[in-house]
Amino acid sequence: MNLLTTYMTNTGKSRLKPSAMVLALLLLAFQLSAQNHIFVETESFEDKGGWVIDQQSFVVLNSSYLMAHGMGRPVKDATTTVKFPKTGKYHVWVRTKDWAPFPKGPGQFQVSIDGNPIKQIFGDSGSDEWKWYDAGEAEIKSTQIKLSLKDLTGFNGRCDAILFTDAPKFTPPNKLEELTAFRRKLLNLTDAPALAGHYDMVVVGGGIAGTCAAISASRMGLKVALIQDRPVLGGNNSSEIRVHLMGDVDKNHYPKLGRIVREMDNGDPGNGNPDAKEYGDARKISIIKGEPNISLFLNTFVYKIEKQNDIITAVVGRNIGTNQELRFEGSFFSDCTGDGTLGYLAGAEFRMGRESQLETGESLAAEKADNFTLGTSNLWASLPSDSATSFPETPWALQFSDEYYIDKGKADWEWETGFGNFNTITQAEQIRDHNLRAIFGNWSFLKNHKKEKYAKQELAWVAYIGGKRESRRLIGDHILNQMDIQEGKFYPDGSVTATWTIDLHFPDAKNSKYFEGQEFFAATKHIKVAPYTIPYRCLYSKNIQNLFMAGRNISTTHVAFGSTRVMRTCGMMGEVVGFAASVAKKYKTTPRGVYQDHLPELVGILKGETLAPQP
Amino acid sequence: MLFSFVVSNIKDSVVLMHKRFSLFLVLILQILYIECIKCNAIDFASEEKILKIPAVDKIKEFTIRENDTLTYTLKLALDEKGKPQYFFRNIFTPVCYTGECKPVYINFYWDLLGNYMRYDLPDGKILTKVDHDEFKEEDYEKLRDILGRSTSIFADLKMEDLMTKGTDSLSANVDAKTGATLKTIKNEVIDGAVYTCFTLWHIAYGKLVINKMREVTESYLNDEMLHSFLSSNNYHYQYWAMDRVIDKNGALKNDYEKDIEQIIRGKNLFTARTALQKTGNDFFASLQKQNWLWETYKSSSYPLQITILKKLGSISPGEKLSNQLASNITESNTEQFRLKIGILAKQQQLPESTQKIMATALSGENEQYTSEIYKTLEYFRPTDNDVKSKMEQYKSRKSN
Repeated sequence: MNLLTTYMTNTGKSRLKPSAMVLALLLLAFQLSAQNHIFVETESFEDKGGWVIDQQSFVVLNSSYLMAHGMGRPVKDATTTVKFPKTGKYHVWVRTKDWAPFPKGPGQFQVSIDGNPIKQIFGDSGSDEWKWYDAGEAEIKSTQIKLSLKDLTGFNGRCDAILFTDAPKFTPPNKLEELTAFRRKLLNLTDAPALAGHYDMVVVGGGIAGTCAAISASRMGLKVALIQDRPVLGGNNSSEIRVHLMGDVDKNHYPKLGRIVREMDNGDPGNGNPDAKEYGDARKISIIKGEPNISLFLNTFVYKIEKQNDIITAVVGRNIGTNQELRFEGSFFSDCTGDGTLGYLAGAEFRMGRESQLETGESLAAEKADNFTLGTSNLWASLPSDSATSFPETPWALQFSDEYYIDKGKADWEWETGFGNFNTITQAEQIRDHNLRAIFGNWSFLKNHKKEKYAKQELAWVAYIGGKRESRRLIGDHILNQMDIQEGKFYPDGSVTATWTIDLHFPDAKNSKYFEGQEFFAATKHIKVAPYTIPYRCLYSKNIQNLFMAGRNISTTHVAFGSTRVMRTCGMMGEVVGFAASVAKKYKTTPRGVYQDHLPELVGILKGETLAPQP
Repeated sequence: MLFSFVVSNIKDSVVLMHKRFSLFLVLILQILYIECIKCNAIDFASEEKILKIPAVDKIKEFTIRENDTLTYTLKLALDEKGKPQYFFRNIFTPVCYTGECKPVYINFYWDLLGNYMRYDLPDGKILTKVDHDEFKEEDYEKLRDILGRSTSIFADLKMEDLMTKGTDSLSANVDAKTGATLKTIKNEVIDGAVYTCFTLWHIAYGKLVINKMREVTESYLNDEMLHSFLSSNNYHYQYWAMDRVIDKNGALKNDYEKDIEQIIRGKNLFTARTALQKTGNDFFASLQKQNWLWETYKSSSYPLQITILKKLGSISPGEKLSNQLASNITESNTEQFRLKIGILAKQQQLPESTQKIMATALSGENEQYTSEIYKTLEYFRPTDNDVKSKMEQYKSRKSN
């Protein structure tokens, strides 16, 4: 049982030689140096209790982890069964961090073996570096034990893995490369994972863009794999993030576009609605399940690609819970990850941050190119309660006073962190954590100092998955810019019609005054645009031959991205990609080949043209 | 006191009560209120600000000339000793919709620096919307919120940008003009009373009148006022007074030490931070002050601790403070450690007692910390045998 949760190796260090005498000595040495490592990935715990899986930092940790997201109330224990090769004394190591070391964080938890807690408390070391903590020795009395994580605060304590070792002086590695190798070895992960199948189209990313791309391609008869790194579809529009869909679908140059987006649309519950059901997770999954040509792979993070020259041949994904790996072969791939993960892994040309005015000629571009991006939101909401409730003081969070606090019972889009002071990909965890420090710090202030208004108000929901706005933009054959948008240029390959303003957020001035360099609240200026079309050439990679893209990571400048990034628009990009993939398959050509040689046919599909009379 | 509290709350809600209660009850309350003004200071408590409006003995009037055709009276309330308390205006302004003009009667109150505080309505007066509907309770509350916001879409807008001419409806492309979404705009206005909101907001935040109020207050400036501003709960007063008692080199006027110390130890992190940052290094030169600052550090919130450590980085700590910095150094987080070791390393000479404390910390588990401590000690070339031996032990542990 429980093959997925525990992993054991027995590594003999010695080499046997043919001499009998030497053999005897070496056997002894082998006994002495034999090491039993029992490695437990927390995300693979059988019963996660109230802990949640977080994979948002996979690209920097090469793993997911468990987190106790209880909004200040300790969550239920996570438990699992662990098998040991033999009983006896084992050294225990716990891999964790203090996520809010200001100066000590609140994420305290304990580890228990068969109900007996190890005395040491983890998660409040004062260091925000992920590392192994020595938890001392434990007597393992049975070859099968129950291991549990006990959350002590409900404030986002987190644990990546637990290691039991009988090697007396062994210290597990902390350096990423060594740790990854160690982890892979103990997880028995090989370079040849099981094949999930060969697909006409492999869509990576199950947000609105990816989901629409998959549906569109499948309805054109393509065999599709849709790979999503969370248990739900919809990305920023899922109940995990709760951003509403924006951008119009009724102003299309090609009215056929937007039909799939309409199917995905669950109405407009606004941003951060406290009712999860409003976002229609189950409905989105059932739409996909209704498509016979789509194989859906949830909870799968794609972290590796295989390619021949500039053609992607396969991608490899790891399950964020079980850690099993699967390989997906494909003819075409679509990067709908938002972060441009697939393109990045494949070596696709990309940009991140702002271009300079000199480079793009855009009046709204920055004077100098820089790393500034729009931030990430962790939305939240409170609801009225029957009686007054309390919320602890949060000295580790951002601090507020009567002079400055946010007098709101729920979040909207303005709650946003990461304006160039954090990297939205490699520091996604820090950004989320900064958002949490703002939310909990402000809420604690309201609950403890504004009782007349907030005593009978209770946190109903706080997102632990960040709603990311911006990261990489993969470069295509055309880079959409401000002039294209404002002059309403209609290129022959104009496809999706976009309507959203150029909506480039920046830190709110007052927030900057009080939290300079630590801003968490945004402002914007909407630059209105007339409906304009996005050229098809923005939807495939310039230098990776079989790579499409849809969503916020398409080929635009930072300024143009300010308008294309909204989800209904992104969904329609997915629709176009699905159509284009069908043309590419039909003529055994590349996405660029579709533009160069078969554009009238693609446009015909967008128009919904029927065939001319056939002979 | 209890009586005055109850009455003050009632007074605060008088605006809303007009429609709810009989005129008789309102009259009674008004009488009680007036009686109370005569005998007592009255606290007006609102969710946003605690505004203490003391008894008014005198009122001074100022005429403001907005333009050739518009002049009005600004009033300053003074206490019995002639000290200024707050400004107010009994406003009458016409609000015109579709050719029909209606008078709006409303009283506005500002603090002495022209920060809008609150409004109330003269007896018997109400506010109405374009269709003559009376304001509902939630409309009065919304107006309170709208007027309470110093930043508003109204700030950058002209009336004609906001509304379709001759109506009280939001213009169709108001969102394009403001760069805000229609949803945001709707939150910032009262449906059917957009013009009223716009007009009143501009009265509350009119630059001319605010400047006049500041000018008047400045004319009353004296030590007593500065002390009372520094010790008030109004952070605007505190910032304003700090600007006047601390010069640009950080030198503090005589007799204001206690006021500044109180702000540094006060509940408001932001005024505390400003006070610390503004005050020059000389202020913390004495050992006594350093000790005081360290005591403050111990009971401060994390962000203020960081401000204090940054401050200490520019002064020369005495032996006691050096020891205190060293004694809990390994319990610090990375940022605190970096700042503390930075302060110690910067000294010309590190007291032997401090070196001893640091040498003890060499046995700590955090390798990053111990290696920094070792480097710092090495730099000062310790002569004490105990320190030297602890450093040797550390070194040999490392090489193992």
